[in-house]
Amino acid sequence: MVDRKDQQAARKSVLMHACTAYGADPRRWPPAARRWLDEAVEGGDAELAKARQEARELDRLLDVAGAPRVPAGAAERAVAAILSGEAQGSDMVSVDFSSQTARGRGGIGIAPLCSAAALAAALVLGIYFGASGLGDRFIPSSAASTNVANSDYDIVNHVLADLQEDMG
Amino acid sequence: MPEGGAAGPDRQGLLAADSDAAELLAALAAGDRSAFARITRAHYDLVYRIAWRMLGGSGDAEDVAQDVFLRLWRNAGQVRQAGSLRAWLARVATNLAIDRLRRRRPDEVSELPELVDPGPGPDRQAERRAAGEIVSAAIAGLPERQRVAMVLTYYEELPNAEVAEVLGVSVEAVESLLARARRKLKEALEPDRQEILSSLD
Repeated sequence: MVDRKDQQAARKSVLMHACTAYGADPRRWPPAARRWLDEAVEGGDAELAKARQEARELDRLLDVAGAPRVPAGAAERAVAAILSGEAQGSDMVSVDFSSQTARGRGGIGIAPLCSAAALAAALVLGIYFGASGLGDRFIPSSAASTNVANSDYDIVNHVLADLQEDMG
Repeated sequence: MPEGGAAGPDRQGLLAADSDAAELLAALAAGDRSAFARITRAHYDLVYRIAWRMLGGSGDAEDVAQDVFLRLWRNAGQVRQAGSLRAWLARVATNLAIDRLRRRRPDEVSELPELVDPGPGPDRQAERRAAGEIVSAAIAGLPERQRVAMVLTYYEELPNAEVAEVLGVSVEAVESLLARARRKLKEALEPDRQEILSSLD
């Protein structure tokens, strides 16, 4: 039998988590959290009340962003352009939001492969410059590696952005 | 009420559209122009708003929205296989908006569209608009996945299961993204907090 205290603690944890993720308005919360909210409010939990208050303050700020007014007739213009064949569309680069998740689940994801490819290229060039003596004509080998890395600037920055997001 | 989400401003219309979506999508896949027009009209506002928020409040939103529905017209068979039409539209809208942002030159400035409910007088409108721009900029400054999670969950109030489908992650991962996004936004908005709140008075 589940101890009542443990059950209350578990429910409080769910409610705190809901506040942190969804904000103070229980309409956005998962159904289980919504069901337990009244009981928790009646219980007068101070920590939960504080979390909701802080979430409410942030919600007030976020709500200031407002909603855009959809231009009148925009839907009809889109339909007309598309069905008449006038609409051309863009060359979208597909964004794979799940690439980091694959890494977290034990998959490798594409970002580490790009990073590994850049490092491998740097190693090959470093060995080439060193073995051939060409490196002596330039600034030291660490800078040669930097030059190779700079040529993969976009890949490195994508990797750094991924790492930053994970750490954020 | 949908699982894990609240009712948005045009939720009733969307639900009505979803209930006969299977028939409409079948007709669309067969090249039915009137089915396409109905689906577009039912979901256009949602797609526009998603594009607008992902672009940081930008006049490009109409272009992006049109592109979304163009892809729907060209790929109707794919949508039937993808499951939820709304999640498919949201995913394409966020992808296209992010792609446009990545291609945007640093000096490119887009005209901001009019906001709903401007307020009582011109001065208050200007204050409110300025405050709104601060918040929109903070959202635009989030990492991409956190921004998608916030736009779809907080502003568009899509069920968390649909948001998870858009991002290709679990519901738990969506909640983690939301918590991180809210923490980042709180930090980003702290310096301007008083100015933003005073615009509400």
